[in-house]
Amino acid sequence: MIYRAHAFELPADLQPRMQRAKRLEWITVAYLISVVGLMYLVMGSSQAMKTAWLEDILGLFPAISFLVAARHYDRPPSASFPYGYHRVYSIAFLTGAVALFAMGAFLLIDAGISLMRAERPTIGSTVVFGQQVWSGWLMILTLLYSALPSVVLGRAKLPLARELHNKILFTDADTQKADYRTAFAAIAGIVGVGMGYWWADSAAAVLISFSVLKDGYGNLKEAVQDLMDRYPQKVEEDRRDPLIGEVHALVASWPWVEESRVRFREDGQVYFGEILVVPRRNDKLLQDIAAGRASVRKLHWKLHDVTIMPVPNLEDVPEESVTP
Amino acid sequence: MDPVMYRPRGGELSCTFRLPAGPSTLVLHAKIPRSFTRLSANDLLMRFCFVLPLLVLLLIFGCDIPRDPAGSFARAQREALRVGITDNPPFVIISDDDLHGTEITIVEEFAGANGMDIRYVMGSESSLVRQLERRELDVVIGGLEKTSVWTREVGASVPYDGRHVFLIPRGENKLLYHLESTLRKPRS
Repeated sequence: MIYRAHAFELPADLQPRMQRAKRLEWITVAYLISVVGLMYLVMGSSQAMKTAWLEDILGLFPAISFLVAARHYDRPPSASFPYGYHRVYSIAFLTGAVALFAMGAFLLIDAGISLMRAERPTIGSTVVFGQQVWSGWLMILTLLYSALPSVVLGRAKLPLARELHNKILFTDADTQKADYRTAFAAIAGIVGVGMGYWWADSAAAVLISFSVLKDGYGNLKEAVQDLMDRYPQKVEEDRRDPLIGEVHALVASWPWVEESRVRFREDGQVYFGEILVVPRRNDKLLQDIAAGRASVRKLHWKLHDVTIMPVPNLEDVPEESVTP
Repeated sequence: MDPVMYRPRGGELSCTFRLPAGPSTLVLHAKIPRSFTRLSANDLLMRFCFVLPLLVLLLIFGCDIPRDPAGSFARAQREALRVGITDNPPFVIISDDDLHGTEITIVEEFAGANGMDIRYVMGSESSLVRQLERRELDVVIGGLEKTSVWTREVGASVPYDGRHVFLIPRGENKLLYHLESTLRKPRS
């Protein structure tokens, strides 16, 4: 017989937040597609525009992977997947991080080459409502369109990501919130070209690709560490989740427990873990363990699955080197 | 444009601008949401960051953009526009004593409109493009198509008939702007 984890359901108060997050991500996808289309139309031969354009295409990645993962993460565990599907988030996150990192590296090299070869961007003119205008102005307007709604969307998604303990949503919101920097760098590049400084364009492109690379590296590190089952981290705050310490305190407070060790890992939005206990008494051990599991799970919705293992002593367990 | 009044109204700040618009005055009412008044200094700074590029845009819109990157447009006006030509009827027809063709007509119209003399340089497409890359020429004509390989190596104008382009050195955006304004003029 296979031991399957519990079916997972977000607590009732978080379910509407999840719905809102999904709705915002759908809006993000629609908006980014419109941005990518518009930018393609006005891009011309500007390196900065090309870089900002590719960055926006990459911006679709976390939003789409969130939406895909959100359809699967809460499927009930099956015989083939006894731990459930929580890790789809980690996988989606890793894939996005790899794409971002690789593209950042490519863009940086591409922009570096165009800077070194002193490639002068040729920006012509377009007719708008019967009036000839320099295409740079249209690029700038498009870049503004790519920046301002992004910030609003990013800021709306950020608190949801924190409540849902969802890293991919957090990364998406956080990058989007900072997206205006890319657009402003590109605008500076275009204005620079207009003022006759050919290098402004490539320099802006280098700057943007550097920020893409930096984001990619950060996400890659985060994604790999999560998949390596490190100590659960708070979303955003870059520190250990104090919840694990609370679990340890709770276990230590049980009268039947002499000594204990706690270990948890992140599986997407939730935690799985083991607790080793040295019992003081043996008479009601099974009942104590059952009650203990129930009360740990009641502590927080993130503590999804816990195993309590009674041991005679902790001699073969290495000394705890970290305090939560 | 100066704010005329600035008074709180039902939890909102209201701001009225009077813009002189011809003989009458245009009155703009801007309601500032209450949330705006509760922003921290940092938030205000962030919001200002959005307005800043718009202000900069307005400031420079009046200036001469795109500018002449290396003074080459001015040089062409001072000395002469160096035009590379390659024989390709009916666009450029080179005979012993005469030079004509549809593109010759356009380039002369452009030079006339911008007060430039023209110095023609004859050559093969590839040698003219090399000279363009070395910035020894300002324009190259001869029935070149927008899909030709040269457009990847040097700058190209918009196709004036949906298909044919003028080649220019890369990044000569002021020259290109004025050239395209001539190319876009309707002609029979």
